[in-house]
Amino acid sequence: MSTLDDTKQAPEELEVVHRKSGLRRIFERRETSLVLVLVALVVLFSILSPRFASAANFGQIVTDMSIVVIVGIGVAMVLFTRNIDVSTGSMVGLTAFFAADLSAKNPDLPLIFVVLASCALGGVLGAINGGIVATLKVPSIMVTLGTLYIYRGIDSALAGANQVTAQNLSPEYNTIASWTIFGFPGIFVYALIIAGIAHVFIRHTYSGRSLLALGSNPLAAEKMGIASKRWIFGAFVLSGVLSGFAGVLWGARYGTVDSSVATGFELVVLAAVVVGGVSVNGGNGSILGVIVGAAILSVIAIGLALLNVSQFWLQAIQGLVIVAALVFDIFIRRRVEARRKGARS
Amino acid sequence: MIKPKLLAVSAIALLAVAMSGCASTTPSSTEGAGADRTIADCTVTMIPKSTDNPYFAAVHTGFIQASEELGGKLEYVGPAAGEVTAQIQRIQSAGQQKSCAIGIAALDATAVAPSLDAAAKTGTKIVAWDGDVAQGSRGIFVNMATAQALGESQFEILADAMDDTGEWAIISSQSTADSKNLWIDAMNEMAKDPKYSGMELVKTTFGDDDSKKSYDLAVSLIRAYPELKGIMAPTPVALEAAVKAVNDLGVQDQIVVTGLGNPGNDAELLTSGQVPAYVLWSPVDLGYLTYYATAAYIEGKITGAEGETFDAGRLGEKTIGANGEIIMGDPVVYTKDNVEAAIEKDFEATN
Repeated sequence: MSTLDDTKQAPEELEVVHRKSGLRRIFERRETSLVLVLVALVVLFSILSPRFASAANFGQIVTDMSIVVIVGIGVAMVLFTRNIDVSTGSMVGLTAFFAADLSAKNPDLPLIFVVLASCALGGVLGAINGGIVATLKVPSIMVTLGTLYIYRGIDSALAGANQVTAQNLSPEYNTIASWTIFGFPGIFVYALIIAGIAHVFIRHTYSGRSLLALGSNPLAAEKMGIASKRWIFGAFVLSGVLSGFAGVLWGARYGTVDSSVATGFELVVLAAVVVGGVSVNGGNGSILGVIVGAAILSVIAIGLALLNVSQFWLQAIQGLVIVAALVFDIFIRRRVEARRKGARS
Repeated sequence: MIKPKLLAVSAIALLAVAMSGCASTTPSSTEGAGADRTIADCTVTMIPKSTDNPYFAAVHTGFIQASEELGGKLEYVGPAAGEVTAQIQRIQSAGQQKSCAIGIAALDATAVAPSLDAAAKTGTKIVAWDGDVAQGSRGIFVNMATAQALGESQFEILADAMDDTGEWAIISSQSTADSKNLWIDAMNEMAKDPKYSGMELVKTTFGDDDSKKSYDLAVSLIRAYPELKGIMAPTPVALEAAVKAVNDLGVQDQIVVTGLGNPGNDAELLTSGQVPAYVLWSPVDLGYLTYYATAAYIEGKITGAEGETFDAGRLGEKTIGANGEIIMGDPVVYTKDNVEAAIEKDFEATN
């Protein structure tokens, strides 16, 4: 792309960015109402169960949501481009086994190398998704649904009947996920750092805005010279890399790694991202939303687990609370919008 | 105008004749199949709960040992993850391939029954092992030990380690796993003994043999019941997950974990003292015995009636009990003292 083209496009673009920053306030309101929902849930569970509001339990909640946030950020990036990635469960599963097996068989290998190798494998898996979607223009739901099975199949072939258990791994492997700083879980620190970088990228860089613009109006974005293929490819690679990192964390956190690890996890991640207000129609949403969405799901899951709910009803009640939370969220948003309109007229 | 119609009608008639011809020949061929055959000429399909499970890999070793002694073609096929729909597909394809026998460790006793019944109609003998199926849908069931003995031996370890007092909880596998539910019944029955009146079962949960789900359950149990003193995990995945959760939360001095363990994978849980003892049986022997029983059943030496006996190779003579059930023996309690010796003999997996 020549620099001349860039300058030509600049005014138009500025306008888009300007309009976006106008919309930004609504996004922020969107998150505000989600945070209110989260606070309401915390208050509710604190009243229902005396054990809910404890430092240990909040530590548990942020630990529980961290892997969802990390994978969710990659998925959100893909959703921003008006695509979807439903293969994350298998990417996490495959990389979890790969990393744990690698470390168990080569105990002398520095862990940083294991982490990088797992991220690289995840990146390759993501590149396959992104490559097919971007170059062949096949709908991403079909591509990633296919690779969901392919990656799981490779995992199954690789793992066979083998398991890597916490006993096979070095104690240091465990600490990748279990370290704390001033009592604050390290696994959540990873999530926050990744979220911080992603937030700055999306909100404060030209590239990040291009990504959102591409999702909100692919045709206009293309006319503006935004290289859509490259962004779509990049988003899928990122989703893969973050899944690869999550794979290492999974093994470190849950101990036993077999070929069924993280089965169905893609839906948990999608639920968190969508609850967090990221639009499946592209171009809309925020990283903060992903964090709040994951937090809402974790609070509901852990809150219900502390109440003496029968496990057979747990899922149904969990679904019910999620729907109720979203209805409450919409209700708040409408009130806010109505008040704003009222103030204008 | 009439001609095409006539053609169509005659074509349909022909088809119908052809189909009825097929239908009439099938039963006669299955009558032959239903008659006693020799194991050497047979294909035997064995369907585990999950091929990706080291325990079943060890059972597979037993199948291979027995098939080398007796002959016959062994097909070991199953779902990678424990999905009952995948088991049903394997049953259907084994039925179509006219296996002499299908041996299955059922994930769900009732869900697999209709497809087993269909296979049985074409002359395939149905054997259940490890996990039983609905009784009318199988001839014999090879059980590793009685459910009562398995439940009680696990409970005894827990009660012992808890000094017979305090709160305990269960993390099992699938809620549809009939054999495990029977063990849990036996535990509950035993807990009624006045000796254990100080013990209270606070919750029974199901981790579906998924390490994350089992781990999360263990964490919530520990949080929800601050007085919890024991976790019973009658499945190795839950055992490993519960030990990890207890360690991660730093409550290993307060909470004891035991249940069903797999020495092939979990020897270190015992040697490091994280688990006082756990229960299992020899999976290699289970595979070996199942194959011998299946061969005897195929060859007509046994029919599943109570009191019949058959030769089970190195395991000696075995007798069929009530309801076509063959009990392999007593459960084995593994401790740090006997686990190493057992690994080589009983848990060598053949991949």
